[in-house]
Amino acid sequence: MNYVLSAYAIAALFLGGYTLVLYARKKKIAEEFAFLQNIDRKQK
Amino acid sequence: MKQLSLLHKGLTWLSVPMILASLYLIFIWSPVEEKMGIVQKIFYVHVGSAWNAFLAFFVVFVCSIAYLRTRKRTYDIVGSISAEIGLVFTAIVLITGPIWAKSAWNTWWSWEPRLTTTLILFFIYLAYKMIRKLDGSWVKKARLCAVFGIVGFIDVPIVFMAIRWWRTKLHPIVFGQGVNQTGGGVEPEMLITLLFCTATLTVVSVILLRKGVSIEQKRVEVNQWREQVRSDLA
Repeated sequence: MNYVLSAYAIAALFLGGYTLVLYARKKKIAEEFAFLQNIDRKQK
Repeated sequence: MKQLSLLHKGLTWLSVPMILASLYLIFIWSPVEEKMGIVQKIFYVHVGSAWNAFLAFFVVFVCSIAYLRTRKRTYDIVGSISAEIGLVFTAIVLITGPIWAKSAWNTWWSWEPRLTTTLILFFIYLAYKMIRKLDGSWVKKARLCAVFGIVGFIDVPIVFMAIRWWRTKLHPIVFGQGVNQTGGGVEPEMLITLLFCTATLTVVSVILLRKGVSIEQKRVEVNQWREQVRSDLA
């Protein structure tokens, strides 16, 4: 049973990890977007 | 666009009961295999992940052709994210396989055709992702990746047919029969569980692809805007 649980845990870890990577990317882009919007507002 | 967004939300909500139902089918409903025992239950995530890896690499192949024909950046982005998803699923296959093998074959790894070609497949798409990190214009990288995505896909049918073309005693042929007539077959409950798990993983794969593509498109927009701001400030 340990082998089975390890296999499923690893699968969940990889898929969950990739989801977290996507959200980290999204957060970074949102921060950059807000930064550029701030510069744009100051220029105007 | 709004319909696509609704579809994405629907799929995201659908994935939760599907994952729970898959776990129920795997651990409670499906029977325990006679020879291998409980460790055979790794089969569902292992085969489901392999199918999704193949599907993701097929998407890379199609998008690579579409990019070379139309030069639209969207195809390049979809191909890039699909390659990432394929790599995640191939990594799951390459890790769950040896865990199963340790119990079934008493060895973590064997250089038999299917395992070797799967490892090569992983390295091909790892190289595909590494090309994207090179210096240079995105147009050059996209063209190179598209060619790589088409050539690299040749390994997918080789992985699938490996146990049928080369006589291998370790990796069984579960569906259909090979040259050594070792077609296995599975119990109906096992087949239903496998199909349902594969469908669940496919839904998860589609959700990740759509999310990844929308994030990447936003990143491209932000990069273009940053360049514009830089030129305005200069």
